[in-house]
Amino acid sequence: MNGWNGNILEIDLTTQTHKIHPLDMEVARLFLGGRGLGARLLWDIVGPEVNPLSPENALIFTTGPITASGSQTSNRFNVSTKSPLTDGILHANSGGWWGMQFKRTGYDALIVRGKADTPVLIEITGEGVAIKDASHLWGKGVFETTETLDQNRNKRNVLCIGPAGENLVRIAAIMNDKERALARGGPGAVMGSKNLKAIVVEGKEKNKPADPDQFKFMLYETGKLLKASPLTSQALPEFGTAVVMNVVNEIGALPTRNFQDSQFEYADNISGEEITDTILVKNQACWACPITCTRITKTKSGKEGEGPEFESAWAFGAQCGIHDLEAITEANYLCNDMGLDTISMGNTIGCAMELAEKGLIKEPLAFGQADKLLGLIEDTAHRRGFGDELAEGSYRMAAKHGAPELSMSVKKLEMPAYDPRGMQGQGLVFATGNRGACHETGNMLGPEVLALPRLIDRFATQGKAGIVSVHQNSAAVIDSLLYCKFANMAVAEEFFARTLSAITGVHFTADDLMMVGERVWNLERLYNIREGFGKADDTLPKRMLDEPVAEGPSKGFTVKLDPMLEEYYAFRGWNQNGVPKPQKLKELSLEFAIEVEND
Amino acid sequence: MPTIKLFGNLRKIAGVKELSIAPPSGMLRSSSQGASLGGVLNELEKEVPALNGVILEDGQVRPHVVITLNGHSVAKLDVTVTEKDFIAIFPPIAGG
Repeated sequence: MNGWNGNILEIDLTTQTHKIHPLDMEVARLFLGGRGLGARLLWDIVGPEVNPLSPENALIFTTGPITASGSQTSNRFNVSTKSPLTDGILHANSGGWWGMQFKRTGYDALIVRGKADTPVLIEITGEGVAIKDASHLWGKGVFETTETLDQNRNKRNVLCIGPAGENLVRIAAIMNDKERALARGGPGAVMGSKNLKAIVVEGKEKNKPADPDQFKFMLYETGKLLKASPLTSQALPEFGTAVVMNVVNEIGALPTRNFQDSQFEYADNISGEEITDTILVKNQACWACPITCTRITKTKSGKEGEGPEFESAWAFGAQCGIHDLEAITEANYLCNDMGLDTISMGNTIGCAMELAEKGLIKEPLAFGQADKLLGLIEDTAHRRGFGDELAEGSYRMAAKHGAPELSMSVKKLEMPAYDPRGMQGQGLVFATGNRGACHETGNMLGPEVLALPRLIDRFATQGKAGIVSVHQNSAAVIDSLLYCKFANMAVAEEFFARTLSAITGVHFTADDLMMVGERVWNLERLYNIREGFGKADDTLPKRMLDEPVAEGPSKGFTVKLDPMLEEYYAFRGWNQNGVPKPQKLKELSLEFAIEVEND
Repeated sequence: MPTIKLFGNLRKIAGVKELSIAPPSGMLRSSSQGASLGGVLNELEKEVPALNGVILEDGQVRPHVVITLNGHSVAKLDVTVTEKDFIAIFPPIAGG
């Protein structure tokens, strides 16, 4: 069938063997690809008895039916695994070129299991699949590894881990194409636990549409929409993602000094406007993307690289009380080279700064210490000294010192750059996130702040459950199709459905897609329930629930989570403990998981 | 005079990050109540002609333009603005 290659490659690093499975096309229809297919495969492969850092865990790389088709933003890919940070389900996706190139090798997914005795890399090319020695690369940074393995943007693409992944740092990322990241939840540590340094891909297979004429028409129509929208044709290219820094700050929802404040007095110094005015060299685009939001930047010391994006600028900026944009930018570069999730790294450093200021740890740390960032990041990646504690993530670090409530995380995943006390719906998104506190799985910035599609009261709680659920389902289907969420700011699901139909030859409607999103969300929920998660995990840090914001436009607010959660469970067709009801699972063709509900 | 803060490309268009606008006395609803937001924005367009049609269109806020008054998003132009208020204006932006 067009769109899918119909093949899943499975590699066992313990036995150094590989085999090819056919892709079950009914599974493909129900879950599409990406995050959905990853969740479905993970359900069967990695059960509750599996330690995330053991050989029994699997890394499942997935593409989608649109990947490599040439449709706008069809460059992304996903990894699914059990997270060593949350011990629950993890999905992460990334742009760049690697996903497109992997799809061209003729596979839809790659499952990596087992553990090699010594460091290895996997090479998938027209010559076949090879597992090669990578001892010479172990210990090297991402940048050197990528260059050593002959990254060639449109022909040969490198995905790898840095020292952080090798050292099983729980907030380690997998990096592709040098500076793109499968960042959140520690997938880099899972890769490191398998002694797998890199995966190199070269492919030639084309993703040819079933209906070329309709596909061309959809390319044209989608292009028109992306060009017509000021969001995708002006705002993102001109200022990048960090352009939202000032508006989030203005409304009093920019977490500052480990979420103690909700406005940062120097927000403008770390904003997209400031990046454009001071350090921007040029824009860059991922494969087949006309938006060009990536920022290539250069600091005064001569270092050059990608970013920082909004979340990274916030994490090393407001979260740590730092307004030195050069220091923040170089911290971002270093995380990319070490293979670290910038959100979790910056958030965890901010947590450590508060622990130190409160006398709970003896490290000489305080908010605003820009000169400490690079050393702390290096030490984390290599688990040196206090870095060994940072490497565990904020929750385990704070809990060790008797103050888990100072970890600004949900399900142990560090919260991103929104103070939910000023955005109640965002609080519900974070609390119910299947991979933990995450802005990529239903961000309420649009409706609660940017009037996208229309403005709703950010302090209201009633009615938020339905809006959040729809946003979560939408994010799940976009992550399964593997479109970029920025494209969705200009292009509605109906257009994605029509493009998908043109590529695959199977008729999909927008309603079909939203059903896929709901199916994926429920399966992820069931996976976590099978792992032992429950209603008690659908919560927020105590500070968000009990400490009202002291100053600014959100003054006096906490997150009123309980009423939103009750409404949310009911809207989703779950019982009062947050477990999907059998009827809901039947509606979603998830009957195979009903046993979990009955446990 | 209310303070107006500009963001994104509005800074380049206007040539400033921040300015104060004094609504003409006729625009004041009363000396104690201040002017309407719409009146202040009309005055802003007069003072900075380059912003004409960038923020308002046919007497309404243009699609995707975000305006906050003291940190609170406002959707209607008839809200009252006083001298001590801060108005922030964001052109269409996206990210996160």
